[in-house]
Amino acid sequence: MKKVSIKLIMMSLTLLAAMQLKAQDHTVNISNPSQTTLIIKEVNRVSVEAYEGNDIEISSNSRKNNPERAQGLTALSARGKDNTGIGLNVQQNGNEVVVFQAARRGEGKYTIKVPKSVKVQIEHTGNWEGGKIEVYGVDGELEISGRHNSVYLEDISGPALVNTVYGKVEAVFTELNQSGPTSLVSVYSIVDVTMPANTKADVTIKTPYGEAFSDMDIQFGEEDGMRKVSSTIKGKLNGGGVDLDIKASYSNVYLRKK
Amino acid sequence: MKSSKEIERLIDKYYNGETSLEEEKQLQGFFLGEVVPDHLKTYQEQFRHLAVTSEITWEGFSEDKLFGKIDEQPEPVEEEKEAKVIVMRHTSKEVWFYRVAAAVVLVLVGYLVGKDSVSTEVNELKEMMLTEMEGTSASGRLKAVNYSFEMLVADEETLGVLKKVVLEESNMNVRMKGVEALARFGNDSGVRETLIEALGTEEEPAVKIALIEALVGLKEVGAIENLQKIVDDEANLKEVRDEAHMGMFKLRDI
Amino acid sequence: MELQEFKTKVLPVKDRLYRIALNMLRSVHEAEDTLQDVMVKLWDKRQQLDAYRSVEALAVTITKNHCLDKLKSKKHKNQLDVQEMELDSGFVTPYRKVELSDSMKVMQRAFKALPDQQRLLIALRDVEGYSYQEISEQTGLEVNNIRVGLSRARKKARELYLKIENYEVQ
Repeated sequence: MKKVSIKLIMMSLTLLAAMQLKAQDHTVNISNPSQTTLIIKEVNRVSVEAYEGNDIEISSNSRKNNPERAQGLTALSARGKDNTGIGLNVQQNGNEVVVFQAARRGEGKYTIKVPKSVKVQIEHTGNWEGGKIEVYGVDGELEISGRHNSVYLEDISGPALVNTVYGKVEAVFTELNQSGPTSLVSVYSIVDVTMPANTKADVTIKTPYGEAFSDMDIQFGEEDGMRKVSSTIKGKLNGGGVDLDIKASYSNVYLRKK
Repeated sequence: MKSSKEIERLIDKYYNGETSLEEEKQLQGFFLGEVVPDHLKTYQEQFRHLAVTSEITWEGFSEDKLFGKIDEQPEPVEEEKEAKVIVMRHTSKEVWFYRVAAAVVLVLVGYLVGKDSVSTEVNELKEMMLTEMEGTSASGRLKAVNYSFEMLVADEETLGVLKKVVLEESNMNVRMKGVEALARFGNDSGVRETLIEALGTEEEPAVKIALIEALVGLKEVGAIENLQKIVDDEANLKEVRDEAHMGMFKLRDI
Repeated sequence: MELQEFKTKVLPVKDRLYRIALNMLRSVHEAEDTLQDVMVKLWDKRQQLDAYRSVEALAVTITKNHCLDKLKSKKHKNQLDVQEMELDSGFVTPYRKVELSDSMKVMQRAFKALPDQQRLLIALRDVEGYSYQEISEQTGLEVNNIRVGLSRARKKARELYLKIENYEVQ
């Protein structure tokens, strides 16, 4: 409850800010969403949100504009040209849409609206920036790799391969796609996963230096009892299904039912 | 005695690999009993055969022979094999009948097995693995790695795929699983070499830790040099260096 | 561990090891040969046996490895295997005590035709009655995969048995 209201306030604040600033947009037309992969590289503070439309819409709420002197010029960066006017370079190659941070932006956040079924890959290896990576409502496969980033996923269905070093991973699934394994890893922080109670999976939880907690009905096999070998827990959810690996090397894992 | 409905339920569970030892005993007890309903007769031989097999003992065993052989160590001396005496307890007519029957079955088995080669299962797994590995989906490649966990033995091609995952795969979740998968075949010296090589090149802390765990688990003393490098390199995370340090300590102890 | 202890700890499991080797190698001759080697290996390790939580698990693991090596070394003649096993143990040993019925012999052949890994799982679970956890220690396979493998093995044995039986009836 508390979480929701905070989120609501945050969202309305963001909305307000966005309205005031008259967000700048960049649209990429795509023809076949389910065949499209959106690749986001080194973009700081990014939220990918599924919506009803058929294009990819990228917006920024940053108040920073290019200096007046730069009028008529485009920002240059070692990584490439800012071809959107909002600090990003966006390229479309066949079924891939590649977005990367071209110009420095010290604040603000990017929101990328996508059709539900696109596949999303997000990579952020930069050392000190990055902030939170968020994904809402995407049905396609997710591949997210961070370093200092925390990862927040909501209303997703996987398969999802997520890893980060310092940040936490939080994921709320509407269902668990059975077409391929899902794997969620954080080295130093928690991994907190919420699944529908009827999810089918072969679950493996590893917490070498931490603990695992769950309120889900994990079946450990009739004779094997609760197996805890080198802090690895293996079991089945609802008779078993696709592989679900959750690992927090130096912290805790939480597996909850919705 | 269980009802036949109950037995049918247990049979289903049995063929799905879901029965407990207790339930397997119940099934065996039922099929060794006198009354087996006709519709369940075809299941009977399987359980009876297992029961008979479990009674076999090592008849040829002799302590003297064993300790004789042990005494001969370490010089391996050609051992005189006891001549095998085959005792036929059938009359010659029966023997002929069985010979013919065996020959017929032999041909049939040869035919069936030929179609259905002895290593089909591993080949099937390998095929599925190779197919998934080709795809662009990281989850698919993770699935491919997971197939190897069903294999007890791996041929060169399978090992090659897993080695490539450990050294070249772009997705870290897949690479980390690859380390675990490859370490299962750690008897192979090439596998150990690959793991040591990966320890020298891997950037991702979580995968480094997985590699250290794997090599220490395999008691691979050859990893010490690369572990020392990790300990010495201050760019590494403290926990990774600690893990490497602990690993060196354990390996030196061997 | 010395002679007496070796006798009390290792020898009692010899029949189990023998059955596992026999199921794997499908030949009395090869099973006996291999087990001699396994026993010698265990004797060589006798000083360290105390360090193992379970001598039996270790013995089974060594037996399994020796059998797999043996099978690997003659992998190139898959087809020949079937004939060899017939000549060697076809209808004489090891079932000296029991006269096998014809349909039982068909069943035996069905089991023998299973892939190596499936024969091993059947031997460990259905013949020796080890728990999944024990089999996992002995083989290094995960419990889930043991279940899946066993399920395939049991179904396949039945399928082969029915195939051969149907051919014979016709």
